[in-house]
Amino acid sequence: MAPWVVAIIAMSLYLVFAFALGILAGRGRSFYSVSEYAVADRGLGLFVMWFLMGGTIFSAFAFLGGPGWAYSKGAASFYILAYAALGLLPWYLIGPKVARLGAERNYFTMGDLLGDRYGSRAIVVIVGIVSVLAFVQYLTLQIKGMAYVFNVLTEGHIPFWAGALLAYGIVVIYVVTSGVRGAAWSDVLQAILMLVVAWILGLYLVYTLHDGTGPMFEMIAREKPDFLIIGASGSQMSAMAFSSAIIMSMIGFMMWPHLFMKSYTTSERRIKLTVIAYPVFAIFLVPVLLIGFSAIGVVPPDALESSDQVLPHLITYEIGATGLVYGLIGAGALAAAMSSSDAITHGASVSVGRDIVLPLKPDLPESKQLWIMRASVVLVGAFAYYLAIFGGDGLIQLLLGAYGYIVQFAPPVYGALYWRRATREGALAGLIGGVGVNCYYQLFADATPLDMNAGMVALIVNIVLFVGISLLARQSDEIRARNAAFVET
Amino acid sequence: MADNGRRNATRAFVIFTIAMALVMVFPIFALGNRVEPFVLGLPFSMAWVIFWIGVEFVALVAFFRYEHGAEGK
Repeated sequence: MAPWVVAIIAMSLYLVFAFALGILAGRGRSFYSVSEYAVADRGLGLFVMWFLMGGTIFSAFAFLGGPGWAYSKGAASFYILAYAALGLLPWYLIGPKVARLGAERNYFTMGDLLGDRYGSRAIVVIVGIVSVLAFVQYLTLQIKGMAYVFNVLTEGHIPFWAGALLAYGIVVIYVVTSGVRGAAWSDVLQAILMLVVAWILGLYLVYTLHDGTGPMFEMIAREKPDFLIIGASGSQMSAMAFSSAIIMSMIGFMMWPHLFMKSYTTSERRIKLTVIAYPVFAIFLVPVLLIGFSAIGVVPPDALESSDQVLPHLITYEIGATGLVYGLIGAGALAAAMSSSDAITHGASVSVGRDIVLPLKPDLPESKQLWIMRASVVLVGAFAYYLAIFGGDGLIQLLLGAYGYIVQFAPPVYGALYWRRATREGALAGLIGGVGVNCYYQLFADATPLDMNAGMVALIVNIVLFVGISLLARQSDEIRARNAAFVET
Repeated sequence: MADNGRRNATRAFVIFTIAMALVMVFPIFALGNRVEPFVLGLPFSMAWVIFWIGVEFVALVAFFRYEHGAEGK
């Protein structure tokens, strides 16, 4: 049998399993409850939580971008490890607090919390719109990844549009039927599959191409002395860019609304245990980088159009195309892309329903809210699919730098939880200022001050506005007492 | 703070979080930012990051045991 036929069979098998698991996850649960759809009635177990949160760091980026970074940027790719290790730490403190507030006051999204604390619908809608735009950008990348994997591993027999439609279509269906449980249970299968594939592949490549990590890194150090150091003359990333990117991801990671929402899906104890398990996931990313390093000196840089193709190139030209390898990698890479896109698609649908439509039309009954959320799964999905497959680069350019926008939610969120004097005006001004500055650096400016991450510059502006304007305001005793309730929970 | 035997280590956790971030970024990361000596076949800079991830895991387990260890099983 030709390798690409085996690959199609293996990937189809995986897709059938993921589909069945996603659909079955919602069986026996209420189909008509917003609480069930959005946050699984606040009752997800520890095992599922681990994989749900773990799956999100293994996106399509892990199989395509991660090796690409290691191959082309060397030490700069350690940023990915640091990011995975640090991103979830703040959740240990804010997660339980958000969970308690959510259970008391019936929140499902970040917008619910901010809207209630600051008494402002404008903040909710801004957060909703900014999140949905950031989600679409992230989704577009995942869908491109799925299409690419299908296309390469079937040797071009499945066109881009069909591969993406099949894989992402399945995600859309199980998110619509099973809500967050569908995303969570399919993530268990997906996370295990991609971990196994990443380790087998990473170790196999390092040992067949270089006789182990020691000889490989010694060779790299000999050929490119500065490649494994940050900020040296031959290095691809300055010390400031590296440091500010890490700090940004640490502050921003939990501000992704689909991750923040997960605070409402489980108990305080399970949130903390999930955070504890997270460094382990960071270690799991090590072989992903090894894949990229193993290509150095093996794949000539001009053989690739972009460094993201380094893994497919290795598979096709260096390790001999056997059907089994194709199938394994195809299933692993699809799993990686799908496990992030299901959580994001779900998050986006809840954001549209709760944070954009509901504030504009507050008397919406629960059943209508739920149908709006389900409809937005399909609509957001279709939009991201369209952008990924047919969209011009111009449109995608507009949406770049999603992280820089998301991190702007941090001041109002931390302010709501820990600072009594934080005011609506301060939060609004900070948000608008931060989003605006980030937008300016993404679209119009050529460089940032001191080579800092653009989102970081915007965050500083945001904090100054937020704190400054909040301090200027005088609050009534009534509002002060209200704010205190949030801080003391 | 002392409901059902639970202890609270929020302040220590904040310090721990900041410390973990600091070892991963400059200027402290400069201590680990070199190729040699190799550790288990990995360049020192990479081993540095992985080492601190290990420390982080151990510390998290300790925090959880401190805060929730006294709760009834």
